[in-house]
Amino acid sequence: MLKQCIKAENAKLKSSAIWILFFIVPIFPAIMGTFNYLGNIEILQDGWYSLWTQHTLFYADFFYAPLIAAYASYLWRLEHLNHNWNFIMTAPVPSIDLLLAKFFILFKVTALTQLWVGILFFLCGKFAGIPGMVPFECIFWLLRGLFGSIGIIALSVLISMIIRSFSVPIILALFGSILSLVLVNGGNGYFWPYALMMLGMNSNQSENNMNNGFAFFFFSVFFFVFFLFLALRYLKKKDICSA
Amino acid sequence: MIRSFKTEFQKIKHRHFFLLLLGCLFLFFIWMAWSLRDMSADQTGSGYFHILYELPLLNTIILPLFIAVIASRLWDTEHKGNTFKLLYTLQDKKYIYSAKSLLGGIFLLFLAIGECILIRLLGQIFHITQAFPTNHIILFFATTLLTSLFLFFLQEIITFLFENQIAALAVGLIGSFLGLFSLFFSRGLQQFVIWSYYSLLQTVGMNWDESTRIISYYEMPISLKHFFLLLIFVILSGILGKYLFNRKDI
Repeated sequence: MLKQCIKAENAKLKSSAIWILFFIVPIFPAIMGTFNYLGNIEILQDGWYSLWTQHTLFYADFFYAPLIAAYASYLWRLEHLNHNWNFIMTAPVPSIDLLLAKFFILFKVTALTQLWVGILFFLCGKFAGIPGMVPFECIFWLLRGLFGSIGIIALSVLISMIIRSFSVPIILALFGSILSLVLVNGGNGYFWPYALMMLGMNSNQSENNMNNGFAFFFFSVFFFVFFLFLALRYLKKKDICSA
Repeated sequence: MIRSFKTEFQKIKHRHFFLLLLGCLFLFFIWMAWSLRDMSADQTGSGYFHILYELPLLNTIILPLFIAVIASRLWDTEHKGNTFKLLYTLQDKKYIYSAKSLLGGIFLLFLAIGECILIRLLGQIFHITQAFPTNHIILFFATTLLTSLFLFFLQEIITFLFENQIAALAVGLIGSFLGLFSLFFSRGLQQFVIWSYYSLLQTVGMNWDESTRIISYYEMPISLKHFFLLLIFVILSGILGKYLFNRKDI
């Protein structure tokens, strides 16, 4: 049944506006980061690692989470419109499959976003004249950032399901990201879902900043399970208002 | 017009607009409190300048997306309910746009006032010894309000023209990006990025001495040219919005 749900969610993504957002938004931090790197090349002497600090400075700190929230809002908006809640709630599908299907689709789009960010990073590096290939660490940080995002995806699934507005979950994600900066600087980033992705991405750092890999892994999984559990409880207990 | 405004006001009941506003101000408070927490005794002497330097930066990052959300919340209800036809038969077309814009404008006015109150509050909490710089606060209030109004009118146009709200939110998100990015530009280039006017029109600058690692703030005259240009943009974007809404095909 889960497979059917994933197929259905996949079909909803075809020719959707999500892809415009997916394509355009990461271009801006890439351009910004590259020009910032070129403008300060006398200080930033560490090649790919220096470019990484500039690329992730804006992308991971401010815009990664709102982007995921926008994907989630778009996916749930389809259910909030045209009485579609009635359809999905009466479909002979377990609630957990509905939620997991949304989660998997969002994870897929997020993974593709990370891939696109990686391609842009490589292209911008070549444009900036950095020799050699992208170091393995940067690829690892991209993957770790993706893992760190599972809590945000689960939280976005929950928030966009409860809040029927398309836009409010996105601004909440921006608020969450900005609070992350404060929390990460205070050393409390592991306890805040939005900060985990920032830590995973090694945002604005040229050397690995992860001093507690276990806490990162544990809290990423914890937030994923916790928010999906809350979403499942909500779906089972609350009467859905269809519009 | 008054009836239209009352109707719009009814529509936003229980939609937590003011909660969103308080959330935004709370976030500003947290950021500024974090930024001011380790201020030494001699730094409190320029504490208000520190706030007036950082708040426009926060406005540049947060408000473009925040305003996109406000505009979307006001107009999306009509898209969702497919109520434009109904509205056109019940109300004078020109008043619908004016009433929604007025409501958004009032909301942004509260935001700008809230930021000014926040500055005072931070001054009290962190025992800032500097005299309250009233002239700077008035200019900060005016530039925050005008820039927000301009962005709001632009977002309104995108929001009512496109049923899919992803367009409006994408513009807000990219606006935040561009605004932030433009802070690295020269002022000559920055003036073409409308989302950066919060920072472009700020009246406090910063000097950072690399050798002593000491930060000092200085007063800057506001760019009157850009201020009046912004004022004209606000009026023109309002007129353009009204014109486009009246011509909107439903």
